[in-house]
Amino acid sequence: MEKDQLKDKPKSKLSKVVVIGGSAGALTVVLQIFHHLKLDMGLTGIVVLHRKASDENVLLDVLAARTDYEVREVEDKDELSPGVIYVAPADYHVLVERDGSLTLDDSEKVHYSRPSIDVSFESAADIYGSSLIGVLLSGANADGVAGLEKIKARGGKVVIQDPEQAEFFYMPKVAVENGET
Amino acid sequence: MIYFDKPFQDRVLHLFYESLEMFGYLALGAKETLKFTALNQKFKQLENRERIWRKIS
Repeated sequence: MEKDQLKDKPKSKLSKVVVIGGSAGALTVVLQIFHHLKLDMGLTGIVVLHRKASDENVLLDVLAARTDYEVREVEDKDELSPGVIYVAPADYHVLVERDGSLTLDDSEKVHYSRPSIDVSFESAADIYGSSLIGVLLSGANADGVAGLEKIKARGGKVVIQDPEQAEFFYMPKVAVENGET
Repeated sequence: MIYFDKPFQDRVLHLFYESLEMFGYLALGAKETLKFTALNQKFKQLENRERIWRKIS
């Protein structure tokens, strides 16, 4: 199965895919990052934040206000395209499929989290390999660490927020101690 | 429908399409959409943000 997955090239050719994961204390940093994302970079973004189900529309509006990219919440089988940033909905995992679409999944939580950063990191690593950049920000649990490892193993780049600068240091700290940078 | 892959979703949706009368309604789950399917042109989504579509052709 896995071999087949690797052989099949994704249908949509995206030059750079960035998956940003964060939990407690990550929103401020995401907003700062968004401010620096220019359209001519041609990125495709996926944002996975641990959050409550109640605040979804506010989050989208806040994110959209900070960037020229189109920001939208993932719908099942949404198609990845450059110039768009996809936000994981509360209470669903987001997976990248071989045909360049996104799938929602409501199976069990990973690291007490749904959406889980690991789930998105790992599935994106499978599909996009070396065109993938994984960014792990502030948080208070270890979700995302295993995913970063996989991104690295598949030739992608990983970026971790300096734990000293993070509002909640645990998530980036574990990743750094794991030797991810 | 989020439990199905794309080909199976298409099959299910086509079955609904064939079964519906003209101007009949199709309601989907909270994060589901017809937007990325071949049937998108054959339905019109209701204007509020609910996940309800109406067969129009």
